[in-house]
Amino acid sequence: MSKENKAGKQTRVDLLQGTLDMLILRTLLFGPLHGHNIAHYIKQTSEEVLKVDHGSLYPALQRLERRGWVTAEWGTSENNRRAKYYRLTKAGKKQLLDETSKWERLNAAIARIMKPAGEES
Amino acid sequence: MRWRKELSFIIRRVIHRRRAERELDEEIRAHLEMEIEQNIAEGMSPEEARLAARRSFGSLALSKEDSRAMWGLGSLEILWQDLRYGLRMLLKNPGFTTIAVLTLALGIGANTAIFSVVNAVLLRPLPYAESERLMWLWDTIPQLPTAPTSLPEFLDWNEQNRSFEHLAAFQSGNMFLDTGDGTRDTPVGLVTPETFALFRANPILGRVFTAEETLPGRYRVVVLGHAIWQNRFGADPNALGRKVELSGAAYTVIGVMPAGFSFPNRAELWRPLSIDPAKLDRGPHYLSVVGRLKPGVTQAEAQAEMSAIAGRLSRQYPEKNAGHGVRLEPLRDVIVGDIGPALFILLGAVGFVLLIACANVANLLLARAGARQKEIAVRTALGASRPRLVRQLLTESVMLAVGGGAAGLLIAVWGVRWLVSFGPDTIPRSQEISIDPRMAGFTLLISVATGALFGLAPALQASRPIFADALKESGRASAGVQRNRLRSALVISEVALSLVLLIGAGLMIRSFAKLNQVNPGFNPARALTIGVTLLRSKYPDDERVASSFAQLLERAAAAPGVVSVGAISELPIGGSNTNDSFTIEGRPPVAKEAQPLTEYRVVTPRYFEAMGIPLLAGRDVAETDTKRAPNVAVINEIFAQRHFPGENPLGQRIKLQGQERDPLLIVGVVGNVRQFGLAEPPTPEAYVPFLQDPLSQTFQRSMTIVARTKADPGAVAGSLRTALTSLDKSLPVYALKPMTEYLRDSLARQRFNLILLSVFGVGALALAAVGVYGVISCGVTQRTHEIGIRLALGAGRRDVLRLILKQGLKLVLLGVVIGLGAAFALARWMETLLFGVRPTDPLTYAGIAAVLLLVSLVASWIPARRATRVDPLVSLRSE
Repeated sequence: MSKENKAGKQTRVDLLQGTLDMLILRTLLFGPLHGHNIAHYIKQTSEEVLKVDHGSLYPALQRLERRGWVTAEWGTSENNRRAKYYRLTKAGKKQLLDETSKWERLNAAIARIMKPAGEES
Repeated sequence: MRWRKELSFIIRRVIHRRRAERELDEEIRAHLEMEIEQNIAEGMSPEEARLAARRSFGSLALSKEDSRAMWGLGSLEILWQDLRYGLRMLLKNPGFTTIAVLTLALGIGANTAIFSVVNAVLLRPLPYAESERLMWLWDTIPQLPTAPTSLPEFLDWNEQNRSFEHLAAFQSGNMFLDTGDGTRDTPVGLVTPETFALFRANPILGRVFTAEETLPGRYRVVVLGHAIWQNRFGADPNALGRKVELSGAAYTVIGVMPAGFSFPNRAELWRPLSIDPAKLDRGPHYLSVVGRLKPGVTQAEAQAEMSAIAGRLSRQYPEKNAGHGVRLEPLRDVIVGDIGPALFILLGAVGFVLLIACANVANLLLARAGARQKEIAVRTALGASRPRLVRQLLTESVMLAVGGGAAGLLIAVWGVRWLVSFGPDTIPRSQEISIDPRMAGFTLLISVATGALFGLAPALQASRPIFADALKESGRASAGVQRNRLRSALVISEVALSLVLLIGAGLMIRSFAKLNQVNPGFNPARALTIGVTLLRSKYPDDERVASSFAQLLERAAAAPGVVSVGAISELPIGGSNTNDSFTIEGRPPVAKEAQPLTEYRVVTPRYFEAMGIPLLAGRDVAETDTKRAPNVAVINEIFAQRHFPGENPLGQRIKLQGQERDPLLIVGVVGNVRQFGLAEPPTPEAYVPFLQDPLSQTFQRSMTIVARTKADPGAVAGSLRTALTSLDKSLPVYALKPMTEYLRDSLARQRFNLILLSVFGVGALALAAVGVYGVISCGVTQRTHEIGIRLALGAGRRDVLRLILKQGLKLVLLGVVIGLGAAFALARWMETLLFGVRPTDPLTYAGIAAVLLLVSLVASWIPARRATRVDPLVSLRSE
């Protein structure tokens, strides 16, 4: 493991702390999914811009379950494999709503600041 | 509501920990398999697909650890984990752990113990209310800067001063107390009534003395100390009014003092000081005086006023008071005496021990950090972040420190008990010494701070990312050089510090040896001494006293095993001093304040013989030297040399102050005796016959009998006592001990310093040796490869041995040079503790340096020998 790699990973983890949670909740909005589904869903829908270390997904899922925003139960996957499915709870939906509006406000604010600069350059 | 759900999540995970682990494993495995399948479906080879899946997942261990972290109580969980892991690591290296904990325990324990003593003796105020206002008042007479005062002078001081709330005069000494259950030698204070008010000490029963009770015939009352009231009156609340016998006279108990009050000089009983207004003599000086300053009056102001009063008195009574002054000294300084420098030196010494201990533990931790390079590199590769590693390593060293602190506290408790056992004659105020809770806190603080201090450096260094290199190249990591340099510096300072300590100990040992070589002037071996007092109640007059002493001496001489017997008023070494100024007949008159002083002792015939003091000229005192015969005296050699240089002292006459007529004819000269301890040079002495005692109207009632024995004095002690008590069964005899014991007791303070400094010095030496061993041993391990090459290229075993020894010697020599310089600079602080040795004694310096070099050589020889056994083939293959 090289130096930059480690340093890079650290900043990304810090950045993703809340965002990853939000992304997972958003992904689960359409129904229960297992971890692998979630990883690919995020990757595909972001058109591969967001690269999530699959490994960091599981601590996040444990955290969401601990907060009571998702529940988990074992099920069978599309290829007949035992997998753990995560389902959004009522509290999770509310949290997602809160997060989304917060995120939208933040996004709009940042966009207002960034746009003129982008046009000038 | 939410926290309740969260709690049930945690509880479920904690209870079903294993199942949770298994499920997490399974979940992640399923994830990886799905990823592989998908990768294969996208056209990768199975091997590529597997690697790609692992790559996109990132660190497996980190993912699991972070997931698990969600199940617990967060940082508490991590702490618990670190503690368990740390404990496991510490138990896995019992040698390292034991040495580290013991080292710290020694440093912390010794520091706490010595600091407790320093705190109690030097720093804490005296156990009296507003004790900083208590002053001792010395009478300064021309020949003596710190003399007791006379009764009339005290009365004048007391009447004329405006600076003191109270002045109290007292005498202390032992008297024979009989409470109806036998006579016992008891420390008594003869005090003026103000003494109790001055110390704000109130009786718990009854009352203290009134001013009238100091008058002649009125002083037959006593106040009991708490211990006597408890032990000899069974804490009887009706003890007031009971009669006791004090040295043969009846007294009435009028009060009981609370526990803890024992002024002056550990008194257990108080009697009024008798003041006879009809007989006020400015001649005899025997009273100690203590005063309490009025609030707001400074020592300097009081000193100025008292000096003015003393000046007035010396003009008013030029005959007796000429040249007399008053000197104030805080009571605490008088009680603590001159132990201050010794204690501060010991405090400095234990400080050094702590520094060495810390250096040693830091050294050990650094060595271990080297050995753990690989472990740490692996953990870093598995995704452990740097703060996480620092935290882990820090937890370990703080655990060590706390362990050391706890063990240190045990050592401190034991050490304080040991120090107190040296007794109040060695350490003043020793009854006040204890480890207080603040001290325990201080210890814990030292130990945790020490742990953080030396734990952090290796932790930061060890967790530096470059350490990943260690995975590839064990044993030749670049950081190793830097660490070796740090460790070498630590060892050099350990050697230097322990050299300073050892030189301190060496100087004490040399002083002690010099003291033991001093000829005391008498022959202590086979001289048995016993104190005898003839109480007035049984021996009312001089005639009885004289005849009884003659009988006692006769019986003592007849006791089996006794060769010769004599008696003296005050033993050398063990006794107190009585001196007087004198004039020599036929010389021009000398002003009173310029008159020389002589010690003054009352002896019986054959005392010199029994004590082994050589008679140099003339004769011993004789039975015929009585009140009816002309007064005679025997003087010592230095008296003769100083006052009769080039003359024959025999036949000269001297007149003591207070002696109106019939001067003393010098009839003999005896050898010098060290009256006040082996370190004190002899002073002029005059011995007068018991039956003349020209300074006293009556004969001495307390004498110490000295018996020269044929064999071991211990074997004769019983028969001597029996011989004496056969005359009078209730005769108070006491202090039955050989002269050698007095000599030993007189060196108690020096022995105390010697033992403590030696203990610290040897401890420091052991620590330094461990340090040297550790560094060299570690160096050998690191250089195994190099040594293998050297051997393969044809170097001999001797060359390798020399190579390693040279490395050790270089460190030690540097430490020795620095240590010698430091010792040279510091040793002068020890000057007051030394006897017959200069603080820069070259023999001590050279000897100690040699010892240290030798020990270090052995410490580096052991690992060096290991280096010679390196098998070049094995060491090269281990690459």
